[in-house]
Amino acid sequence: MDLDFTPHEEEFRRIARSWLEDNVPAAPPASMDTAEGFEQHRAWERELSAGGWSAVSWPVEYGGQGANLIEWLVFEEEYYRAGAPGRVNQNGIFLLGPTIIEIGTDEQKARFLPPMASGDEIWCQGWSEPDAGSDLAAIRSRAVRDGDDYVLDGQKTWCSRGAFGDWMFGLFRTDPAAERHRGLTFILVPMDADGVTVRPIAQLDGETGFAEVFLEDVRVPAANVVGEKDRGWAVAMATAGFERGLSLRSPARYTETAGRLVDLFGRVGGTADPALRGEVVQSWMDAEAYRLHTYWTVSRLIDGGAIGAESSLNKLWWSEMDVRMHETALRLLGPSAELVEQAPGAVDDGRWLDGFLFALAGPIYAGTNEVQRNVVADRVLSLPRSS
Amino acid sequence: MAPALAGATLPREPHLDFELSAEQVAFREEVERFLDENDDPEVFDVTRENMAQIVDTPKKRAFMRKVGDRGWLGITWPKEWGGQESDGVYEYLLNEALARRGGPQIGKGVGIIGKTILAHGNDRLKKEFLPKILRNEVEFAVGYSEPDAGSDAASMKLRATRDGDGWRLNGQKTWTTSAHFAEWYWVGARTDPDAPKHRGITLFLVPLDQPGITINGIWTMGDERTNDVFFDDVWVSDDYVVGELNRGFQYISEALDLERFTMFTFSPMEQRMEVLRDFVAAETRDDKRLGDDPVVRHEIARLATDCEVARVLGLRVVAKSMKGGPPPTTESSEYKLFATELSKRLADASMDIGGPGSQLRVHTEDAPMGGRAESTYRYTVIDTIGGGASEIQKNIIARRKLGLPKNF
Amino acid sequence: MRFAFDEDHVLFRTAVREFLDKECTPADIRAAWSSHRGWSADRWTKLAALGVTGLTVPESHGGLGMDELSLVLVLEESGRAGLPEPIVDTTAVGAPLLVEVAPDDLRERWLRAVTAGQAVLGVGLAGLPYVDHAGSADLLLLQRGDELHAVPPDQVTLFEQPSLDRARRLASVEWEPGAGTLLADGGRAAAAVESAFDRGALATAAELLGVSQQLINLAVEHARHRVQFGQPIGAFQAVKHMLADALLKLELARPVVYRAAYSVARGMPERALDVSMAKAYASDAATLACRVALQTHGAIGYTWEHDLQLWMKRGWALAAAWGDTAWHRARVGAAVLPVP
Repeated sequence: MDLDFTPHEEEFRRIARSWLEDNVPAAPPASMDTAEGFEQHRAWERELSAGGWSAVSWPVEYGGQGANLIEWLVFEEEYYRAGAPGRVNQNGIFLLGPTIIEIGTDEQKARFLPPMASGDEIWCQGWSEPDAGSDLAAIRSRAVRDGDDYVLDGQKTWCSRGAFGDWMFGLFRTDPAAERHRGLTFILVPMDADGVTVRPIAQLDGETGFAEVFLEDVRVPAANVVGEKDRGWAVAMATAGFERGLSLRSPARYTETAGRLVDLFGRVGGTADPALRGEVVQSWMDAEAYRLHTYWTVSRLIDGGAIGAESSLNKLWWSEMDVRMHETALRLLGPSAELVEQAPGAVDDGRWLDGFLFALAGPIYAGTNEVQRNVVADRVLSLPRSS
Repeated sequence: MAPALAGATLPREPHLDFELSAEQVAFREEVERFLDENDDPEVFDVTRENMAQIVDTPKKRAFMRKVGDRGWLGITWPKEWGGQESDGVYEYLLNEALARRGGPQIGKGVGIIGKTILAHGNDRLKKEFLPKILRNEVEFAVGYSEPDAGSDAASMKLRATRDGDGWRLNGQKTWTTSAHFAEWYWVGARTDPDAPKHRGITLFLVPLDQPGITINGIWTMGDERTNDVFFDDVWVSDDYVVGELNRGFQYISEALDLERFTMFTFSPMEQRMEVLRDFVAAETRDDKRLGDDPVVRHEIARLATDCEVARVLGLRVVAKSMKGGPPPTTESSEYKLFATELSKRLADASMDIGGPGSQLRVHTEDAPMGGRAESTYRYTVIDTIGGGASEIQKNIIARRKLGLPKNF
Repeated sequence: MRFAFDEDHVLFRTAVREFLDKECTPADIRAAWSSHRGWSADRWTKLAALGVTGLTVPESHGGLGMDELSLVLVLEESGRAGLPEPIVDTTAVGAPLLVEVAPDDLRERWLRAVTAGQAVLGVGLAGLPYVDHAGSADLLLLQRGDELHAVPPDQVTLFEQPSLDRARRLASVEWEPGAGTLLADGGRAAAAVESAFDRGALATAAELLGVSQQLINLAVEHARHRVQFGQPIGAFQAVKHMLADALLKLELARPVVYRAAYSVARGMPERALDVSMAKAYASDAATLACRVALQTHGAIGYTWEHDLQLWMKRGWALAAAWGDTAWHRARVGAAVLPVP
């Protein structure tokens, strides 16, 4: 065991820090859930890519740096430390990208990874449907083979980045006779294809972070199938594993929030409820524990271990911690908690309130926390399945 | 708006009063005087926490006979059967006063068994048992749980088969707290194995010295005794069938709704709250008064507020049951759930605030709060399990109050 | 950066686990509960032969000379097994304290005896009111103000303070400091007391990990086999979710405790902060595991005969020992928060 970073890791950190200091825009871009902000974020992705930092953990040939997981965590720490913009292509770079690298064909890697890394193609998710939420296996959108194509029909909903994204990945039913999670196929869909209609959905903050996507006789080439036909569930689970686990929410995001919370306490804690002191400390410790837990997991992966259902533990932790931290911040703010960015009295430009609204979605997306608790119970603790 | 209403008779506000009437206050004072006169550490022992309610010693029996002599055991019963036909609130006040001092209580004989016999029993049972209950001349044990029927009480398997003008009982009960000293066993048994599980159970009254009954003690972590009770061809006459055949589970459920609030009284929690408050007020730590610590103050204030909520939830059950009509099922589940979870939170807080000495047991010198932190902690952990576990209460509330679909 | 144990840590842990599986069964714990001093001299000797009692004793005094990284894994096992022997006070706290401040002759004599399984140590620090196993300690290491003393048992008066965990034999200790027992004073004593406290809190945190794991294991086992409403109760989401939450707390506490072990072993400047975080997390994890395990078991878990109580009582007791969550969280707060 050695909890010091190696000289190589420290050098990697130094280079990343220096690049970020030189390049992170001084003024934050507009929200990525607006048309204007989306393009600003795309521009930032292009800049990251030009510097070689958009997909550090990918192989060099596809635009990455071939960084190992420790280096990736180091980069993430520096990224949040620098206050860099949110990642508009997160769905692509952290979820679909690793999936294609793991199970995609060479042609798919060559076709999809470079524009993903460069920000030229931004990805949205197409998992949920009106009647398939927590029960994802109830998917009904169909894909029917026709020559070299599949023809897609149905409706997807809660598609993150769906309002402005260029491509969508998702599951479609290819074998109508098969039950539940059998007979599903993982397919990549261009959002500008004929028959795709996007209806943005305004979320709690009034912006359109996700959308409903209607598909009517949409033709996509069979080459857009990732993995085998009818075996899409396994592909999706690999992708969802990345999402729940490490790649979606690196600990740096929360240690950075915890640091700001401590700072906020320093500014306003004197007049706040003294019992809140304990909550602030607990938040700081929770973020630190998540960081330690992640380094612990990553070291195990580097030693050849695998992350399976344990990734559900990560998701439970970060999503609920995020809500708690923001609740604590809002309690510290007291009467100013409800002020939005535009209010002259807003503290930190209303950022805590924004963060709170965003955090509230955490226990719901990427598999609700009820589903995650079932996964932990069934697959980590081996409890009997519910009937 | 006002002119349009001119001349109209405004509807009277529904009556909402959280205060006791003068008569009720007078009764409570009378009870307190009586308890002062009969104060005896062998009868009243708060350190036994919620197990103190069991009438398990000759002295406790004698005391309860005195309570009976005052006419207080049948407060709500009909006059025809020796009762006073008074409101349930008097029974509540009496029981809470007894519980507060860690004394024996009236829930089982008067509440569960007496009221079920009154509602469903035949004349013979009424004549035999009701006067004895009122004079506290009989102790009962209650037998619902079995090794494979805990939360799922309706799955009880103790078998009753027809034999002449009576029944033969075979099988096992468990967690029967009073079986080793009680005279009569109030026991549920399966009389129709072919009916759906809720509809094949009958309630019987069985003398515990009947041949074929074996009672084995089980010692709890709280240092109290409970029992396994084995039945080997135990004969019970038809005269001791309670109410109708195969309606037993319905009677048990009705009575459990009553038990939840008489068995999980509020006043001991209030008393523990006072112990904690007095400790905090008097104690200093690192030369600072514990009562000045803002975190401790907040914790105490929150618990005191929740205690008040529990008290009012309990009163609501009393109020609802006084109006007649169906038993206050969801109200009593809400009270039981909230009060027992609060009881554990209070125990946690006493443990935390008491510091390392909180683990010391009652009668240990130097133990903070006289060791009550430890005893409370150890005893209250079972409250969220007994009398219907918290999970079961939540299912009842979800289904019967919120109308969520039944899931199993 | 490599946050993983080395092979020798893991091998030693495995050896201890195999030993405890055989030699420290629930029946053995119950025997210890009803014994005069609360633990078994026979098992202590066997632990010595395995190297456990002298694990922290330098090789120059006959011990294994291993550090806290090995120690926490062993203590996780002792917690999992519910070991009644005084390993925390003797091996985790007492022996390193002697290494730090005792004069050569005293150090050689007592460390040899600890390693051989012929002596156990009691530790009494000023902030902690009770000494565990004080009645059976061969030497008591006691703090009074800014002095640290090594006091033979015949120079103290003990007042027993029964704990709910019957393997813990607490006592208040009355004694008079004298020149003959003085080990250290002033800054040297203060530093030794601070590190002794951190070692005790770390060791207790490590045991709590094992206790929590065992409680969860017992509850899962029960939930898989206990049938109500026609199915194993573990198939009900209310039970699944409760157990998943207990596991979540434990899994997050684990690396926090390991990091604290690293900090103590390497003498890192953040040692106190890291130890406090570890104790706070482990105590919370154990408290939740106790509650969930009992709720899952229902009434059977509340009985004297069921073994659940062996770990529940230890969990409750250790969560409050060596500083509870609130105390340790406050210490983290003092280090982390700005003064408003």
